[in-house]
Amino acid sequence: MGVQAYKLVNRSERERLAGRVQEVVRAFIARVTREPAEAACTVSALGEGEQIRSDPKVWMVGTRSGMTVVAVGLSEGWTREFARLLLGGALAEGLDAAGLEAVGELGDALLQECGAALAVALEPSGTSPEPPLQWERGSALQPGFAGQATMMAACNLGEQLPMLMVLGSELVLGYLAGDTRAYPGTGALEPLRSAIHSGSVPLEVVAGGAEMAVGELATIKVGDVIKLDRTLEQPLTIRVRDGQTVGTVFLAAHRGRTVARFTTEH
Amino acid sequence: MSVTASAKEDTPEVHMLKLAELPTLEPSGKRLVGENLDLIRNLKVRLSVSVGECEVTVKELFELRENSVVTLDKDTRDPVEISLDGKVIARGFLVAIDDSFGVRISEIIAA
Repeated sequence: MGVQAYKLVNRSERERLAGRVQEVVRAFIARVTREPAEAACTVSALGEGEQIRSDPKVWMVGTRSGMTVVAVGLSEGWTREFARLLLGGALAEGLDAAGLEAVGELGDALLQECGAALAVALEPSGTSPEPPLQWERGSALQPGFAGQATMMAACNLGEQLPMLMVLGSELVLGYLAGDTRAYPGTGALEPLRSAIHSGSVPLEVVAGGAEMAVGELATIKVGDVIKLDRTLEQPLTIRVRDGQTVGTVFLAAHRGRTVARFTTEH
Repeated sequence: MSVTASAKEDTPEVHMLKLAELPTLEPSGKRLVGENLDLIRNLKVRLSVSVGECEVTVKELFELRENSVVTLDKDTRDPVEISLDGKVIARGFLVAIDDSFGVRISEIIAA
């Protein structure tokens, strides 16, 4: 099937398309997360020469002149970045190759839905053409914008209009904690859920801390006692190694090992 | 409200500052500060004391409840680790000092 050349001539047209993508994205998020779709993101039109905003909840759809890229770049390094964005550092680091692949597939699925919706929205007759998109992993990797991890897809909609989609969002945390039975249609994402659920999370029990001056620290020697900012009655903090607090625990001994028992006290 | 002549005279002149262009100069000469710890002697830093670690799966993490127990990677006789900015700088043993936790230093980790 021949691919029609499209031109976005003005801002209102771009905004119309951004609106269409927003519908797709929100529907996608509603399928895979517990987050209210309205709160998850907004999609904005990105005009020629405009800066991409460094807000992970603002997704942008735009055009870039002179772009001839027809592939989607999703390298392993990219998916790791995307996983960090979705899951937080510790969980993303724990993902194995299969988990990263699943994250990449999640990105692919979303971008393809967006691309297909754009193709339909651009079709003057309103009929659904073959999505004039080519998707290919592992090439044309685009760096993140504004110092944040972003998911980018570049494709040609027709011969004249290179299309760039830049997506960044905390997408699946709610989904991870959710019950897939309540969300029919999430079956395709089961590999991601399985991969993440079997991933390991490093936890650390912290007995508190102490603030002191560098000069004081420099004189510390073996045998000195440092008083910590935690009373004996208080439970200790258990956290993911990257700093996210999981809860509170009391220490105990069990068969010679130190164990931590979770409590609801603070 | 009108401004009197004397008030005008008292009013300091305010205008925008404009910085001169940076000349092209290479850093040279002896080090200005060297490794003078006195400069940062009063700087406050925060130590953190880690009792131990463990690994759980994400599935196990989501199923944690009150009285759930995880086993740490330490024997009860093992020292705890004292860190500064995530780097272990010393080890020691937990003690009670007054009504608080404390740690008695048993080893200083060489830089």
